[in-house]
Amino acid sequence: MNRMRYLRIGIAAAILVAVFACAIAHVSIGTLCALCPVGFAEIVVASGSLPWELLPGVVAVLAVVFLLGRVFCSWVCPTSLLKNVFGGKTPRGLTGRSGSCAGCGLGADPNEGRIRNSLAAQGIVLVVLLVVSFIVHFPVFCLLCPIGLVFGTLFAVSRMFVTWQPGWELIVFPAILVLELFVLRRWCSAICPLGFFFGLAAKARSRVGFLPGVRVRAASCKHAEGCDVCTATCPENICAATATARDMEDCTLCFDCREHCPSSAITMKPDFATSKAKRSVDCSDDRDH
Amino acid sequence: MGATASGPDARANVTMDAAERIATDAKADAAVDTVEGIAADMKALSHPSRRQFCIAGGAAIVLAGTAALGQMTHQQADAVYVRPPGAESEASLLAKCDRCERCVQACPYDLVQPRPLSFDIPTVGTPEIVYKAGFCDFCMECVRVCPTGALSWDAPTVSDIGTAKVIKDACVAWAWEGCRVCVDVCPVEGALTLDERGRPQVNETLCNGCGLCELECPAPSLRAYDAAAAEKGIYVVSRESAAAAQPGALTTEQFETGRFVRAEGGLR
Ligand code: SF4
Ligand code: SF4
Ligand code: SF4
Ligand code: SF4
Ligand code: SF4
Ligand code: SF4
Repeated sequence: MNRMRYLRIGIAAAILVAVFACAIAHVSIGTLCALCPVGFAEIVVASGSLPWELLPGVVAVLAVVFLLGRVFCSWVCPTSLLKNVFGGKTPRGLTGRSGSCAGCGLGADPNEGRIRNSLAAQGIVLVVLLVVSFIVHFPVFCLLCPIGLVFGTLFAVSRMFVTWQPGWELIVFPAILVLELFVLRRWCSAICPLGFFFGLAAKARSRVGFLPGVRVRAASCKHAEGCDVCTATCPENICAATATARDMEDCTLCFDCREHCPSSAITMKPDFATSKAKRSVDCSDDRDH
Repeated sequence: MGATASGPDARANVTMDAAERIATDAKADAAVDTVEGIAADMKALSHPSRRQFCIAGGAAIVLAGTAALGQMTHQQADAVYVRPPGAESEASLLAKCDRCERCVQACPYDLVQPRPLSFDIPTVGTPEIVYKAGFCDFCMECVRVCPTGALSWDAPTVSDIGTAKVIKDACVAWAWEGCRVCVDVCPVEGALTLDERGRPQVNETLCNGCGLCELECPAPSLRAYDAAAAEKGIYVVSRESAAAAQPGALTTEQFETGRFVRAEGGLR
């Protein structure tokens, strides 16, 4: 059934296990914080120095988002992992998935009613966290960041094996996580400042139309006949059939729509067609598949 | 046609040109460049995303609250810990460390551990030295892997992370003589010697805080358990601590009250 979801759980969990195993094997790969653009910015303002050695990792992650889309969110981020494991059908809860498409029956474009990731809201959070980090001279957001809290819990466990003294964070961190992810369900769409950077990279990539992403083969898509499977499965509530490039910026390449599309109309292949004037020719080629 | 793509006609034959629609919009949206995209988000403030702005505002308040609470507890605790080599000062480590835990992973002797959540909230997860599984041989792995400069080669602590303190009422040699385990294991010539009454004394200028003495001290197994006395007879403390500021051996009480407290005028 939810093959893709299990695959995502597997990959994100494997990353956590690998980081934990490296703590035991003394391989210093670091947590995802070693790749984090927000952590980088926080350190710059809190300490007034540039952490040069963080830069390659940060740039690499943003480059991956630029080339592949927001894959980090679906496939790597422990936040999505928790939502995939505990969140049932709402892996990245915006409003939660309704399981049906509000617009389809009414003839309206479902993408018009969907709640987009709000770069502006995430940007406000980013600016505020940088200002407060500057004032108090430590990276404030890291104390609340779900990614940091997941790894914090993980390392509290690894410390326990050395000191045999469990710390309070073993209770407090998971409690904050539950609050953030399952009570405040809009974390990813309106708060996460990492999402701001990823959103910028996704905007940049949507300007270069040909990079790989979700495409709908018009010939096989049954949206006009009332099919709403892609919208109903999409954790971002994107209706792939009618999505604009701007809607697609929120796509995390979870591949759920592709897995569930009854007429296999969704492909992920790089679409050189859309960037050039000759696209209509290529599109008709597409329909032959 | 880019203009009509979002009109009602386009929607009617959506099956026919769904792929093309993405295509046209990609082109139309090419005009929506990064900055304009954010501006568009700002403009969309009116309907569905107003809620998101409320959430962002709420998040901002929580952030400010966390910062204030963290700062308050941190100042009140005014604590010092034994940090890995290369930590310039408490303040510099706290400002630069993003808790990537690379240093924790790197230390071959499991010495570097993330700080637990304590009253000193902002320090949670930052590295401290715990002499439970080993001692520091200044292999510098932790400094080498730190990507943020929180542990740096330039800091004076790269070769000196603290100083050992003998605890009078816990050290076996202070009670009966005879034990000289710490003196024998100390790898630094002259850092730990026996005084004329056979009691260990630390030369704090030479001691580098490696912690082998603390690790090897057999006091807990030689003495009957006493809740009022420290477990071991010798401990490494931060040089900035009130415990380190007192000369000579300490009582358990002096040690426990001064271990994590900054000495008057200590480096921040
Ligand atoms: S938006 Fe942030 S928290 Fe959510 S999945 Fe992406 S990186 Fe993780
Ligand atoms: S805790 Fe979160 S914000 Fe901080 S460095 Fe890690 S991932 Fe980035
Ligand atoms: S459009 Fe498809 S791949 Fe993208 S987020 Fe939605 S369901 Fe996942
Ligand atoms: S210098 Fe080596 S032994 Fe000492 S704390 Fe760092 S990694 Fe561990
Ligand atoms: S390696 Fe540096 S940034 Fe990472 S946890 Fe250790 S001190 Fe902090
Ligand atoms: S910590 Fe102990 S063993 Fe290490 S140098 Fe100092 S006195 Fe010697």
